[in-house]
Order: sequence, then C-alpha cells, then structure tokens
Amino acid sequence: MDTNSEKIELRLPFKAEYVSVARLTASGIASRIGFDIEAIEDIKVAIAEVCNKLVVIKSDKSDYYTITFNISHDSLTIVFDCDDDALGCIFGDDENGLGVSIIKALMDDVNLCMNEGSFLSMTRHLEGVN
Amino acid sequence: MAGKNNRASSYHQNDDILFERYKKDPSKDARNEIINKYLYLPEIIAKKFTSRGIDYEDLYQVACLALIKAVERFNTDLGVKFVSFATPTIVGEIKRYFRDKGSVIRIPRRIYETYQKVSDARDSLIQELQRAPRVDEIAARLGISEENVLEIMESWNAYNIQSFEQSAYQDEDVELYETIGAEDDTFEKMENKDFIKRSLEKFNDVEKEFIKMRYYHRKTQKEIADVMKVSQMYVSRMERRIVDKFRKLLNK
Repeated sequence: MDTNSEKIELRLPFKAEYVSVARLTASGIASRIGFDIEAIEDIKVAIAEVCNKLVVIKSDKSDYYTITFNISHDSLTIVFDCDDDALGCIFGDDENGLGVSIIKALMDDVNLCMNEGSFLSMTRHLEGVN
Repeated sequence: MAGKNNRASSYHQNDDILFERYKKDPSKDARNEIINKYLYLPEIIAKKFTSRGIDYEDLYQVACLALIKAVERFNTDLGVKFVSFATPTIVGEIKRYFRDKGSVIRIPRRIYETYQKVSDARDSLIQELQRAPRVDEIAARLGISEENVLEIMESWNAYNIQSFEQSAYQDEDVELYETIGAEDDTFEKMENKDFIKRSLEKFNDVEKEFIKMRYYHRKTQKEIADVMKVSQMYVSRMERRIVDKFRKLLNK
C-alpha cells in the first residue's frame, strides 16, 4: 500500500564516524513501525554493513550519500543512493562475501545492484502482520 | 557497654581483640591475621559480579584490595561487626572498578546507569511475553523514554569490547587472535622453490654460478664480471639470456 508509505531521508558524508548516526536513526524509525528489539538490532547491523562498505570504497570523503527510509505500516525499506553513478554495484566484487551474506540473512528482501545511482535496497517486514 | 558485650558473640569479641592488637601494633602480620580470617568475603562478593565482562580473577583481586582497605578503615568503636562494614566497602570498590576500568570506551553516566536496568528488563520481558520485547515495552517497564532505550541499545556493543587476547572458546586455551585467518603463502613459496629447482637443471654450470651470485648473493654485474674474469658486457648478455630462458620455462 504505497498510499500509506512515508519517507525519511538522511544525507550523510562518506565518513565512518556518521555510521552510528545512521544506526540510531534507523533504530528510531524501526521502533516506530513496531519492530521488536531483536529486529531493530538486525536492521542496524545490516545498515552498518552497507554504510561501512560505502565509507571504505569511496575515496572522496567530501561527497554525500543518501539513505531513504520508506516506512509502511508493516515494513521498512531502506534505499541507499548517491549522485556518483560511478560507484555502481558496491558489493559487485564479492556477491557471496560475508557482508552480503550478513545483509541477506538479516533482511527479508535485498536488491543488491540497482540502476541510476542507487546502490542497494533492502526491506524488512514486520512479523505477524502479513 | 556491658549490654553490648553480652550481645556480642565470642566471634565478635575475637574480632575486637584482633583489631585492638592491630591498632597497637600496625604490623603486616597482625593485619594478615584479620585478612586471612575474612578472605572468604572477597571470594563470595567477586563471584556475584562474574559474567559481566570482567574476569573473576580481576574482580577477586579488586575485592581483596578492598578488604585490606576495609581493615585499615575499620573502627571498633563504631559498634558494628567487621563483616557489616567490609561487605559494602568491597561491593563499592568492585562497582567502582566496573565504572572506571570495566569498559574501554567510556559511556555517559546517564546511559551507564540505565544500561543494566534495560538489560534486565529485556531478559524478563522475553520470559513474560515469550517473544522479543519492543522498545516501547521496555521504556514503559522502566519509566524512561524510548529514545533513551534506543541510545542504550546503540551503546551495547561498546560494552562488549572483544580483546584479541581473550579466549575464543570457553575453557579453551585458544585466544581470539589465533582464530583469525591469514593468507598462507607457504604453498606458493614451495611451488616457487620447486619451480626454480627444476628450472636450474636446464642451466649449465656457468649460468648456475651466475644465478647464485646475482640473485642469491645480490652481487652487481660488475662484481660478477670481476669474479668470472669476463667483461661486464658479457655478463649483461648472459643475464638477459638467463631471464629469457626462465620466462620461457615459467610460461610452459
């Protein structure tokens, strides 16, 4: 139900010290949707995995990336964007690596390679509401 | 005074004598006598604080030092038993140790103090609800804000700092850093060694001698030319020939 969905956007520099901000923001949003603390921990870990990867591969630290939280009544979809198309598939080099495995295990739907500047989107559904 | 003496057990009277003796003669022996008698206290108290991130041995040491402090500070005139005085002293020292040394990353006091409560509330709520609790449930239980709970959750991993030197598994003498993998280049080295050994058979003695001097002993072409009593030009040509031959063998 797209009519019910709302968006929160977070623009962060490619710096490791702000990963915690993303985690804390995500936890607040996830809690608002009604996820329990275990699910919140999962979401935070998945976000940190992506953020850390972004921070590592991007050498120009003055640039920004955007995390969009798509909020619906029973799910949270997190999309990572950046104006820099060159980054492309951030996990392209290790599709089966530990980072991707962790994200896939923690989130329900994971879309690794997206077009037009989006690196990745991942969704977690609220259990018991399906 | 008489009433107090009547109430006091002989155990207590013994203490009075011991402390009286220590006061008159503040020697290590006199102090040790008291400490030996109460050494069970640090043991019980330290055990209560285990599995909170600090090893029992460390806690026991802190508790023992606290016992010594308690003996130093104890005043028989106060009319309390030494145990009643020493216990809170030891507990206090251990708590202070947790606060000051327990965590590598210092956490704001506000969060530190609620941390334990949130952790306890989570555990009991899991039991009661038979599922993982939500943040608002924990917040309601403790009467704190949801934001506060979320902040504490974010700081959880700051508590469980992993040391490279901690044991990786319980009761095993394997330390964490030993379990971390590293690229093992031994096989490649062996293969390279084997390749060089086999390749060398295809070179004549002069060439072998050159390889030994040039690549094992790191001599210059000029030095080798002097040893072989030939011109540097000749050595240079020989080197090019040898490298070419090696390259061919390698590509085979």
